[in-house]
Amino acid sequence: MSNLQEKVKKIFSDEKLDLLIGFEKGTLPLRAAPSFVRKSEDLDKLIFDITCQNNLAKHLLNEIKRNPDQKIGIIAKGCDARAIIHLISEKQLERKKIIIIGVPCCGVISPFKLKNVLNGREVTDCTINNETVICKGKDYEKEISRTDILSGYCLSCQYPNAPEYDYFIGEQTKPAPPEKQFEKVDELEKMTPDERWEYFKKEYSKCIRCNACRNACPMCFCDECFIDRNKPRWVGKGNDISDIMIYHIMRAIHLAGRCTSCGACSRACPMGIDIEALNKRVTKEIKERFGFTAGLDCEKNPALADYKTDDNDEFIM
Amino acid sequence: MSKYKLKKNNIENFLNELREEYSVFAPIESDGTVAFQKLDDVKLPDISLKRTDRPPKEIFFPHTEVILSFDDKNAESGEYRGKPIAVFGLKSCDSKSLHILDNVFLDSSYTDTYWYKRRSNSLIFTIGCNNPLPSCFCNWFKCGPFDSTHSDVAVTDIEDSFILEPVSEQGTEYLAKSKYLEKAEEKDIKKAEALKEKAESDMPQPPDLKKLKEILDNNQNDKLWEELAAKCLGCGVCAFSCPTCYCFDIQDDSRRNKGKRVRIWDTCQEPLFTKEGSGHNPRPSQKGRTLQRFMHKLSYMIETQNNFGCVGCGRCVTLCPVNIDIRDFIKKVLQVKGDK
Amino acid sequence: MENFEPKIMTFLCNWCSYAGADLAGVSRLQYPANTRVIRVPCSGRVDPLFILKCLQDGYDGVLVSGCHPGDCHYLSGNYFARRKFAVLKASLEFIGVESERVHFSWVSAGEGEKFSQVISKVIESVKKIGPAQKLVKKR
Repeated sequence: MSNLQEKVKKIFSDEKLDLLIGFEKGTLPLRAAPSFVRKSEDLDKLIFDITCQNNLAKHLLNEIKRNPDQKIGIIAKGCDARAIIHLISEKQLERKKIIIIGVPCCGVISPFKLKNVLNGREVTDCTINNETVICKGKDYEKEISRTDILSGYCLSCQYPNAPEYDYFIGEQTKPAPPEKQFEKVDELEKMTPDERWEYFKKEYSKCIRCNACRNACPMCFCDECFIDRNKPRWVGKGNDISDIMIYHIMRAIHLAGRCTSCGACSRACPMGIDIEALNKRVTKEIKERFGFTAGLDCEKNPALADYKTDDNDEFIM
Repeated sequence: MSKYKLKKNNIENFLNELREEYSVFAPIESDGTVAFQKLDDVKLPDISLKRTDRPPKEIFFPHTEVILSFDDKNAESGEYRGKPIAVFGLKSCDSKSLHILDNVFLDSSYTDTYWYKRRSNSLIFTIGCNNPLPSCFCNWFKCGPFDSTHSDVAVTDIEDSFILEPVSEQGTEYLAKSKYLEKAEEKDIKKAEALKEKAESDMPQPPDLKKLKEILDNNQNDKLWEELAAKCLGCGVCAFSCPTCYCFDIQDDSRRNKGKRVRIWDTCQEPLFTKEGSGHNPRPSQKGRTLQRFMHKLSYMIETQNNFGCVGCGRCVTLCPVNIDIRDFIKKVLQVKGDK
Repeated sequence: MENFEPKIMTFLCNWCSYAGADLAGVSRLQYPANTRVIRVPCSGRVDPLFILKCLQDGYDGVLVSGCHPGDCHYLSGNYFARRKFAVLKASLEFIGVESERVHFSWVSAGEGEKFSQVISKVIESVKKIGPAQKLVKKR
């Protein structure tokens, strides 16, 4: 039994948890799946490593919606914990019903990146080392540097450890250098508007409107999303580039001051669309303009649900 | 029937020749995603023989299809009017998926014009999978890596060339007149057969699915469904990557005196899919929606067309963001009976 | 481009800017007739989606105008609006839509003069960049 399983077992019985949400080994190599454990003996299947790509806050929220009266423990990377904290600040969750178990996160794999690094070949066996991952397939073996397959969000992550937790298992990890945080945004900002337009048009034209980004996002919890409103219909569901653009811009705006940069959206995207750039740009605006970072404080109002009378209005005539 | 050989350095010529008569689609990789794309003068075949990430159904049933354009005076049907379609490089699971969709769209009581116009006279080149991927499980559903039942021509990749074997009459006719084919030699045919045998034996033995439908039908309240629904995000990745999912939505998109009616892929995983005009939703929970998807594939379609709705291509298995694996699920379902 | 007459959608708050537009009219101030006005209860009512929808439907520019900070009839609607618009503006600029397409202003009920100037300025800046292309849905 690993250290993680042992400690979680103790927490499970000490806290009298009804449910523990964590990760278990997936059915494919280098894939993990969300795990819902209701019995202590099932905790043996828990794992935590670079394959744990989902944001469990989404599942926590769904569970609470289904049954609000359970006490739930959750294994939380930095971003999962921030999402939970932000959801508490939006009164979607109650702090006292949740036991946050922080785990040290060194970033998680982006399946799309992995697929491309391996040139479409599938993995049958793998070994995860400190710096690299060794993938074995039917007729190949390849050692891949972790940084080549980690999610872009993870490579620029400023909060790899839960900012607030009830327990922390393991040693806290170091964040990426601060200048990394908006590296991607800064690069795009060097382009002309027309170049950026072309870039985003190309990226978003890959979109198949499966809504995986929205559904993987812990902040997208509306009972009815604006794209599903059809009396009247606001945005078409087809592959018209204008509809796709408006969907993505609006989603970024709805996440303004709420996005915790977990990257669950970009890892869920089957087409490998760069969702990160625009979301990060909005996060940057919120940070620089309003001095707000989502998911650090359960008590603080989210940036767009708040104001200061002297907010800058240089852009208003 | 006689078999032909196509040297790989002649593939471009062969496809160009095919393009004279047909609108030709083949798997092409761009931006890290492999999809069937129409070949033209610019997009000449840097053909990828990988399994496409996007399903082949989009060739005949596009993601967004204009079925009617109109203004205040006229209306025009959007049905396909181009050349007949040829597809080079379908895998056997994919060509079977087209057959399953034929049963849906070309039902004895109703013919879907939009599907029919694209699909009629189409020429399907199915390429055998020399190396089935670990996520492939076509052999679970009476299909195999070299199954060419639902195609016109069966193709085998033997390194330096392709072996082409006509399957249908249309395939026979076309191959007979192509300039770039030569008669396959005995040793090439042997080689192709060896590849076939190897691929088939490489795939793990499938479980026995005879009782699957019965178990599913009798256990719709099993806790398995709860477990599955808890994981599921309710997105459309599985349905949109599935070669046999065919549900669609129809929307009118008009402004002022002009507009169009489009049909768009839809997925049973969205609450909106079943939401009625009154606001009532008869399938309100994720459990119901997940159940619908799996029951449709593994039980209802056996009733409607005596075929599993899954062809075992493995796309949803690899793309699902929460690693919901239909193989794993089926195995668990089969055990439900075992426990009792 | 010389003869390009842009179509501008304006969202005016009921309590200040709409009254300001009214005053401009009553005072017989001249300003270009390229605008369509939608009266909203408060600038805070304007969802960024409204603005994107206008651009999608082929409007060449959008103006949202509300009460000056501190004057909101609902006390804080325009403060929230200001934050929302800042984010929308940044997102549009980043994605490559011309920043001249979307404008915001504070116009009080007494500022008929300012209203006519704002409209003229908006039209002038939209004229400079020409008809909307990006984000317009082709039907």
